[in-house]
Amino acid sequence: MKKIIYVVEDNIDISELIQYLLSEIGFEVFTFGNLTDFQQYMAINQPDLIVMDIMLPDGNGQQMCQEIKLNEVTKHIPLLLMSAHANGSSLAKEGFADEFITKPFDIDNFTARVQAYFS
Amino acid sequence: MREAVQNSIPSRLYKDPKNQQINLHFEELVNASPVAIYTCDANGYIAYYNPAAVTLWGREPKIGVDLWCGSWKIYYPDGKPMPLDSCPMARTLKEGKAFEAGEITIERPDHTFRNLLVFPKPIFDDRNKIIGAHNTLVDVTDQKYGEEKQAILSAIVESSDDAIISKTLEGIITSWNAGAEKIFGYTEKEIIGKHISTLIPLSLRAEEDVIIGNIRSGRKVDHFQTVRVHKSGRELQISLTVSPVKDGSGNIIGASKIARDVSESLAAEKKIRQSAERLQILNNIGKVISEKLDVQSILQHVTDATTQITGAAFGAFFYNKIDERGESYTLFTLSGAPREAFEKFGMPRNTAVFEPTFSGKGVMRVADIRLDPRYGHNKPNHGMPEGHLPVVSYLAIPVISSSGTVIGGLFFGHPEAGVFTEEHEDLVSSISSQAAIALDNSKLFEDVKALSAKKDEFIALASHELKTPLTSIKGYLQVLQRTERDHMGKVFITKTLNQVEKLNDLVTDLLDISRIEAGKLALEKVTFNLVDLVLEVVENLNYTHQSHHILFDSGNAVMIHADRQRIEQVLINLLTNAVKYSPHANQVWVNLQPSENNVTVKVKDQGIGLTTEQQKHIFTRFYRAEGAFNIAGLGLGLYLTREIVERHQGCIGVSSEAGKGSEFYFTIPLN
Repeated sequence: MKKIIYVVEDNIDISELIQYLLSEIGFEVFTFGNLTDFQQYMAINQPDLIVMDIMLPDGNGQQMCQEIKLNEVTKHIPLLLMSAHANGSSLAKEGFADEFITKPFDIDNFTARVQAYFS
Repeated sequence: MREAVQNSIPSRLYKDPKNQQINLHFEELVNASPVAIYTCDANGYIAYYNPAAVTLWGREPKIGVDLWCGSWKIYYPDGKPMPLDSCPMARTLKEGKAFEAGEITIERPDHTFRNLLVFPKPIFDDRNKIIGAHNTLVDVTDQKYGEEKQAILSAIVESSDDAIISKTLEGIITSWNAGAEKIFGYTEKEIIGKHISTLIPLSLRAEEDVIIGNIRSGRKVDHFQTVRVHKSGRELQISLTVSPVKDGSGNIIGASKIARDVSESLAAEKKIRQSAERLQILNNIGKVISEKLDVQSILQHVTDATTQITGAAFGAFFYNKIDERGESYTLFTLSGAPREAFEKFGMPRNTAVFEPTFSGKGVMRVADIRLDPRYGHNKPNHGMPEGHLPVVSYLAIPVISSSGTVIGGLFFGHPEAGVFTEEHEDLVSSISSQAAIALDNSKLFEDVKALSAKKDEFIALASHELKTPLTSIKGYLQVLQRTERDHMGKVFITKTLNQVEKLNDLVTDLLDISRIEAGKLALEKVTFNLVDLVLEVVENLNYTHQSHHILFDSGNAVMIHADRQRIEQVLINLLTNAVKYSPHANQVWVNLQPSENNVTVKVKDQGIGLTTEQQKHIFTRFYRAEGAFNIAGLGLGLYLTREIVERHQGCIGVSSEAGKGSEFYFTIPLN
């Protein structure tokens, strides 16, 4: 049974890149361009890991991260916040994210950090 | 002397034997007399003198030689020299008549002077022929001096501007000079015989008992500041000196009192104090408002200072401000009245009273606003609304900016009429023009601040927007790099990736600079081993910059509390600079020197080096060493590096020689 990863990223190119990188190493990847779509899926089925951008067209990834981490049902799901924002790492900390990924990222470093949660 | 006397007694007296006994008595009487007595013969030669005469003259005349008088020198009472042969004694013999109480001054050989009254009288024989004269000299020097002194004292008392009064111990006025009349208004005739309390205000009557008490026990009352009453009832500020007056045997019989009217000098003192205070306020306000840049604080300082200077009961500053949306609103500050006193009335409207100020027509100063023709014409209140602060005296001054627009107005009120003067108007006008400048400056400052914030916001947004495509470029290039089989293709992809990395660094630097400028470069401090970090950086750079070999001799662990990422940035910056600026060398050295309180990191190269002039500017923003045009960069790296080191309370420096290489070093505190 493949592990499921949700990717929330509004930039299609980056979203496709991540989908490619993670599928390649054996994950089942679902991509969402906004928080509304992501939340619909979250209500139905919860993934094994979430990769989320901070600046999203219909909301703030940091706030969403906080909600997930404060929810008893979802708080166990590893969540990697991702941003080109300068203050990203402190935003991730405040949002209780497990990891912070600076854009642009190194693809090997990126996949290694995701895989670390499943070894 | 006795012989001389016997010889000189006119022989006529001796010839009569009946008189011989009486003559002897006379002779003794004359000789013992304290009054100077002498005689001359018909020719004026001194024939006889008594001892008192010798004492008075201060010399002994020669019998039969000295003429007219035994004095050394003789003067008229006015001090002119008197010829000896015209002295009263000479004239008695010449004219055959007596002179009574002729006044002369004589000088004695020891140069002392005496004032004399002379009584020369001719002596006639039986045939009525002048046979000589007898002279009596009375020394009146002491009396004369006493009289003069008296006259001088009286003149002084009469001409003094101070009131000089004497009174009995019971307080009855006994003398009154012209100065007293001038100060208190009573004539001498009116006041002599009255009680001193006539001059004392009711509330201060007890003072007199204290003063008299002092005088009775012989004590003087010196420079006592008090209040006395003029004949008109007006109160006078007086400085009083009262001294006991004693009679010849030392009994205290009354008091002399010198009173000086100090009302004027007190008023002058008050004025000087006021001017000094004003000057200080002016000085202070100038300083404060040129230092302050926030509007509210400038307004408050100006309101407080001007209210104080004018002596207003309350003052207000209304300031028209335009917000970002171009809408005008009014700020106001108050002094001397609570905010609630104004708030319920809203802003001053364009009524007849306020219009001249808000249209910049000039200062409006009214002694009683209720009597002003402009007052009370506007609906609905027709004057001050119910509950308004009680304004009678009114002063309003427009505040006009350098561009000529009215930016506000200063308003002052006082419940009494006629409080504000032209001087107040001038002072407030001068402060108001200073305030206008300060408010203009503050507006400029706010504009600049807003622009700067916009710039920072823009750079943050731009950097985010630039990094988003960089993320895709870098990611896909890395994927390609993995899959590319062709050797040349792989090399080209690597070169492209390096340039992407540089582009990303530039964007990061730009953002960092804008955050430093905005004071927003936050440090995330953790405790870590600096040696590990240096090793990590050196290893990475040795891998990516194969042209040079970076040598690092690691020693014991050095734990520091700092922002690991920022210190890494500093190390990368210094090391890549060392590589970049030593194109003809292939080695760079890193060295770490811990001491008791801090650790120094040194990066040494054998590159192009820096001149002394270049070393001075190397850490400033956008500075690039001349002759390094072929080496890419914005001139931000070392500026950022210095900022990061200084945010860690550290310091940074360089020692270098052009053509030989440079050594950059930075020091970070250990705790």
